Amino acid sequence: MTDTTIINSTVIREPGRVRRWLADRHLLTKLGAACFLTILLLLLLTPLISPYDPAAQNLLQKLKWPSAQHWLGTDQFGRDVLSRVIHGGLFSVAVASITIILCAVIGIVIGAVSARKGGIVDEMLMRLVDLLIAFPDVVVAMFFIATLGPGPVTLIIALTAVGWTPFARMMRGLTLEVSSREFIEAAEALACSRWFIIWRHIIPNTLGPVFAMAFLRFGHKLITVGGLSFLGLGVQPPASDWGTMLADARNYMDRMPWLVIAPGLAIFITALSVTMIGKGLEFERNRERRESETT
Amino acid sequence: MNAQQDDEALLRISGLRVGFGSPKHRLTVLDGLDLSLRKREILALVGESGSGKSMTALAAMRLLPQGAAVTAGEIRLDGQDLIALDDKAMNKVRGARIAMLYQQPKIMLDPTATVGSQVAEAMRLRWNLSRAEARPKVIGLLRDVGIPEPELRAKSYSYQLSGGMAQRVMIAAALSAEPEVLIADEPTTALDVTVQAQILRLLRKKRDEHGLAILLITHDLAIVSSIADRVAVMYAGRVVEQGPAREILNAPSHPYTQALLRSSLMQAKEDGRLYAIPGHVAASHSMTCGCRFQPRCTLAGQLGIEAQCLSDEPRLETVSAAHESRCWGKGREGRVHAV
Amino acid sequence: MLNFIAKRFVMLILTLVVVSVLAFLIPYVGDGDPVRIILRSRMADEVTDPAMIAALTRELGLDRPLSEQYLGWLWRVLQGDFGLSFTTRTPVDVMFLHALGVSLLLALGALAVAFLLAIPLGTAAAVKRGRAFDHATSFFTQALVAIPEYWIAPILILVFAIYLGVLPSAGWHDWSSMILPVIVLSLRPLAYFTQVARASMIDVLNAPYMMAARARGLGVSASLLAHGLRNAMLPIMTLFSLWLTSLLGGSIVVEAIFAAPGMGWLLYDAVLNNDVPLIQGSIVVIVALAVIINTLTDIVYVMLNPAVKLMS
Repeated sequence: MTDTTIINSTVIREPGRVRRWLADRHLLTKLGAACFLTILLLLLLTPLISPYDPAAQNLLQKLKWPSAQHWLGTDQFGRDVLSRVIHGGLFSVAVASITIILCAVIGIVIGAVSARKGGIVDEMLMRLVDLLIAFPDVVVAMFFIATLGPGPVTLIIALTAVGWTPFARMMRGLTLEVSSREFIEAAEALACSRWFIIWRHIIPNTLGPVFAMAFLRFGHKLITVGGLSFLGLGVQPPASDWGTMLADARNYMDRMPWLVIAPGLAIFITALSVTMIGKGLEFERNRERRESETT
Repeated sequence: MNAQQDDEALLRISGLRVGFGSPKHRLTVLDGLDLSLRKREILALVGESGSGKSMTALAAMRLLPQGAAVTAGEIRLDGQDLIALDDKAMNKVRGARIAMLYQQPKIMLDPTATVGSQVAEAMRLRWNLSRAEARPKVIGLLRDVGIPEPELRAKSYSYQLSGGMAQRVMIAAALSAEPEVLIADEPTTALDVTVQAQILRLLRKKRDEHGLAILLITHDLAIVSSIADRVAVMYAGRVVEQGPAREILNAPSHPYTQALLRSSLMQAKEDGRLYAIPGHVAASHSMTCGCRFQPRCTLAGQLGIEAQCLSDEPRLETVSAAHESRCWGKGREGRVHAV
Repeated sequence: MLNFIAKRFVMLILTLVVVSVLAFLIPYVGDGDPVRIILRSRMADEVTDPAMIAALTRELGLDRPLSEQYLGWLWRVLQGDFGLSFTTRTPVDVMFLHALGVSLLLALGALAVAFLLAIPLGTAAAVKRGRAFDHATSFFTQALVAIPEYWIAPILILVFAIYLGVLPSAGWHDWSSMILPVIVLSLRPLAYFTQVARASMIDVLNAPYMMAARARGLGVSASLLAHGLRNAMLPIMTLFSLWLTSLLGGSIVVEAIFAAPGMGWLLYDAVLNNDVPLIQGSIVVIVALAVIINTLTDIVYVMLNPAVKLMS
């Protein structure tokens, strides 16, 4: 036996930033994020991966059960359901994403300003939030659809109109909490401007919970957008999304339950994955709190 | 007098061990605690925070926090072992036979329930009374603990009470079902000094009138001297010295008791600084053998008996009638005092 | 306390004014001639003659400034007169009475189901905190929130109406037609109630006054009943009223799927047919109900919780 000693380099690798960041994440966050990123990737790569043209009709092949050619079967016009499901997510996910970002940004600004200004401004803004928060968002959407007509822009305006309120309420609480810490007093003592303090000190220290709420609300927005499409008030034909697919499939569901199950499952999984991210972030925050309390 | 031999004891705790965690990673907080409380007696349980005083109270109530459990020993009330009771039987003991007072009376009251309904609770459970039947008794109790306008106060809520009033309400609630034993865990710590004295007088009155036995947990030796009949000093999960209050306060035998007295009487040292016991209470699990106080003890060094203190744990041994101490230096300390 | 009620009351009135202005403006901002739309809502017969239209415009004050027209409209609305529905040609306010009854039945039914299941579920999760049952409940509630009602509703119809044939698939006949919509509507509130019940139960279980109650001889369940539930109920109550307002007008999708003639369906129908008076009326009624219920809840909350009363 040749005496070759392989000297293993026993340098313990310093875990990279990414890995350390991943180690801090809750299992729910990781699962949800993996699932959601996969869905986003599928939606963005649609033209490359969808097996058929989602609009291509083939009346000879209509209403077929899942098979090797059509994994999720075909619909009443013989269109490939899998391709349609992959295509159909883009509208709902895009509208819900834009809405939630707008809601979060408006809520952050109003909540932070309300808390930092205090007095009559705070009082008025928060009473406004108290009242708007009770408005059912679908009813607000109906108002905007009745005045502006259906379409993605209407939906975004309608869902943002009251959707910012929970963010504002939460942001106000967080701002008050952060404002009581020493570094804000220090910044005030240095005569930093109000906007500088909000931008540099308050917002960075409150983003965690805001993100958690954004993910938790995203699922709800997605379902609402799909619901309005289901009612024919969201995406307009010939375009379609998961909601319209479900509405179309209802007439055939006694023969082809799969047509109803597939697009609904797509909404469910997408909504569940973002909810899981949000819940995971919430758990992480609670865990951090507990740790900082005990030490 | 040893706890096991004390036939008059109403509440007798012997060999009590309480630990947190699983059998593999156990953190022992009470380690072989012996204690006995007689009828009509006020026994003060003193010691620094972390010595296991409150754990003793919670163990006697069988209300240990989650994760903590009794692993050995007995708690006998009138001869009956409480550890062996099932939950239902224990519910009948709490309130009716052993009651408890706490340090923060205001947060111990339900903010959404009236004061009167909470005072009535224990008596209604014990004697199966209706609200209407309990009402006059509740008002009598509230008047008895010195609450003005008891009819009105019975309908008020905890946020409307001062700390002293809330503690009086808690006393009324604790004595509502006429228990034999009252465990009072630092009942006056959160109160103003003048109110403290009133509450202590009230407790003593209750002892005199009803023959109530009180286990008074405190770290305040001034309270001990004003009310206690007997004192048990705890250190790291067990009793290191016990005996009549006057004797312990005037002639403490154990070096820990001596140090505790020195620090609490605020005797200035020669250099004008207040005395503090060096170090802090060792967790009892970190001890495998030897005296628990040894790391902080100055007596051992003065007597030159560190080797013995390190290797063997002393037992509770009689100093004089009814006075016991757990120290190897016992009997030799005269030499030190003379120094 | 009075100050608090007065403040909430002023905000309530302000909101109603703003909402009524928005609703009033609907015929003016949409496409179509506002005069014709308004005439259609006020006259039983369609008016086409230009001379008649001109005369009616003057008579109804439609040539006056908008603010004057608004006050006139508001005056009629306050008397319950929202005009005639374009599609049914009946007064809108009469349609509301029936629809509100249907929506109220569905909403209260769904909330009752959610409440009765959520309290034991949330309490059990709180008691078994950190254990498998707690994690399972947590995941279950997350999944419930993610279920689109327009997905679960057709599936339930498929199973119970089409395959098993035990329940009607849609329509509004007797109590059996309520079962499926109530189940579908109860899912989300069930999830949120359970989460809140768990959180407030955990707070309550760790509360010092619970320990004091145990020390007085109350068992675990007796102390929960006597002191835990009432304290845990306050946050759930707020949520209950929020969901009541949300379900009263917001269960549009479910009412449409099950053809339940409630407020949501009425509004949906109105939007589809561009039935302006019905849209105006539905929005005013739904929002007014939501805001009034919400304000009342806040006031009751403060009255029930003596500690809050002291601060305000």
